[in-house]
Amino acid sequence: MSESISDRFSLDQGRRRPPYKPKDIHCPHCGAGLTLKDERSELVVCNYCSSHINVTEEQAKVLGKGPELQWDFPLKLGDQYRFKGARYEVIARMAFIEDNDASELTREYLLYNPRRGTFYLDEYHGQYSISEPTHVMPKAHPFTKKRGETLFTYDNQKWVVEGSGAYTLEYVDGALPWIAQIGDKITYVEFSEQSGSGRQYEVEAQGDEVEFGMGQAVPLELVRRATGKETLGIEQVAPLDAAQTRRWFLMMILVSGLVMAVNFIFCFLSLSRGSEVLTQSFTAQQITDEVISNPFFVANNGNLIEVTVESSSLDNAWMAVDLAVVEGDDMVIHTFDSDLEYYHGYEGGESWSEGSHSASTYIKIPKSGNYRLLMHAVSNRGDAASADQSEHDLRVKVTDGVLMYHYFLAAGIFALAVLFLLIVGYQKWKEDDDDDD
Amino acid sequence: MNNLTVTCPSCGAGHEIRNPGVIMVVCEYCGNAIYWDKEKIQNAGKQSTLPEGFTRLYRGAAGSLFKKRFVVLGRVRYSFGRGFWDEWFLEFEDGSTGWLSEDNQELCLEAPMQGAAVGQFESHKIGDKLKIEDKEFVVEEVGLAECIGVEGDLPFHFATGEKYQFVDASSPDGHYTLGIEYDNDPPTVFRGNWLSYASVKLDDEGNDW
Repeated sequence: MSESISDRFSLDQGRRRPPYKPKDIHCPHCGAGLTLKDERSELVVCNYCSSHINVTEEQAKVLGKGPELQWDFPLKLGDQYRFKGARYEVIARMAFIEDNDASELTREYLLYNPRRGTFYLDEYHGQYSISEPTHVMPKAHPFTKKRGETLFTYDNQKWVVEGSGAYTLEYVDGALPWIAQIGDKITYVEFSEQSGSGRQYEVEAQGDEVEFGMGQAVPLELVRRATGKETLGIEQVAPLDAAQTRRWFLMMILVSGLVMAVNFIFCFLSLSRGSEVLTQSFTAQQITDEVISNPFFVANNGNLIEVTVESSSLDNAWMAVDLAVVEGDDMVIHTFDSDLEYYHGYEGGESWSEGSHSASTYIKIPKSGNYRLLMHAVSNRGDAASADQSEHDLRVKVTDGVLMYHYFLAAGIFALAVLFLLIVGYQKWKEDDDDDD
Repeated sequence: MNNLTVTCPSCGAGHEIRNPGVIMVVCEYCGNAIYWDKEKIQNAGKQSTLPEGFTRLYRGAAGSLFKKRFVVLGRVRYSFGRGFWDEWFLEFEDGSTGWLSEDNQELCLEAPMQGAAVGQFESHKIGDKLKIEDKEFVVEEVGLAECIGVEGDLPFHFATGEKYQFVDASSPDGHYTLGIEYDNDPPTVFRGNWLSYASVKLDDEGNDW
């Protein structure tokens, strides 16, 4: 007995596989001979008269005439597609349109192998993808998600919403395993895998039925090889999928935020950096005559010094200050001027002011050592075009080892503006879910 | 009951029954069904012929599942209104048996489980969650199954036209299956695994298609 069991279960002792014999039927409308390749087919479209035929009953029944073919399908019924080492055949073709926009066309092929079942090959704007049903479910309600938002499935994959909407069946030929009707509307949400692997997850709902699919983008070259059709379309540059777009936005937002933060930090640090090496006040008389300051010490070669001149008594007046940096006793190494003006008033019920009591200049000192400032200034009331003496006192301050905070501030503000634009752009992209990219 | 030989009352063909769990056989020559109990053999009449060649599994196929050799003894096909699925009855080389469900060539291996509280059929709808022995399942399908054909050796008496309500569920991670058949009180509950294509190996895969 044990030997008999062993024989029965030995390799190649089983019954030989019964042959695959597609079923031949006749179109009940025009009588043309048709072949049913998949025994699960419920709807067959007659190749000759376009009748839609229900083949679920013993007696095939015509449901109506289908629409004329309006679109080119690069693949024909019966074309082959090699997938995972097996040959599949195109047994149905469908055209779906979104929002009644003919440019939003998806061509879908149903591919069949009697041993392996069916899967779908989709083509949208020259981009191909394949999908198969899956039992892996989303952890959150998929239809509440907007483009760019993320969703986890129970296999711990993270997905980014690619787009959502509803498309309508406009055309079908071949044989389908359900009774499709022209005008059938399917609501969908598509996701791309977050890491940019090209894997796709989709949820489709029609009536009460919700189905999940797992797929993969397929480069045109692979489709050419799988179908053996070298002339299949023109290679399109694949647009960024939602996961890639989202990642680009988030990366740019992160970079802009970092640039902004770094610049504001440097700006803050530069404001508090440096040591005051000279503070000296001069009378109007002193400054009218040429005057030289007390010495100050610049600590390091190449240090930046900030020279601030201030006249707090300026009142609707201006002051022109000529300065020179003097090394040692009398060697002028740099001359510059610094103009002050401050005006204010009351006009139309509102007070106003413009200008400033102070101004700063940054000078790079080549080598460390003792320096002094040589100064001369004239000032006058605002309505006077010229002056030959100063009417106002002047205070001068020198800070050694400063950083120019203006540049950091400007760069920080620029980064802030870019950050703002990126956030607005990201929100707009998320809301602009017409799937037209 | 080992090596029981039954003779088809319709065409006279002899059938050798090797597995003791088998109580029904559909004559492969004339399509007549015979079933028996301890007392007598009864004729269940002619059954619908199920088409062959369209499925991955087939009656008499030999292969291995998780490195365990098996032979397909029989099949029951059920319609759920918008399609059908096949239940393949398997005998393993150690004499044990099991069921493989095939729907659109997707396979799952199921075994009956005892004592699971699954509630009334009316309490289930698509999307509902069920917790069975600390494992969560989500209902994917509810409906009325109708037996539309049988073939080969089977462990129960099946008859074309028999109907029962059913609930099919999957674990959300896509690994496990739960099937509830409201054919008895309490209902029969099956739990199993979805199988990858590679986990089932047939001696004759038919890759020449």
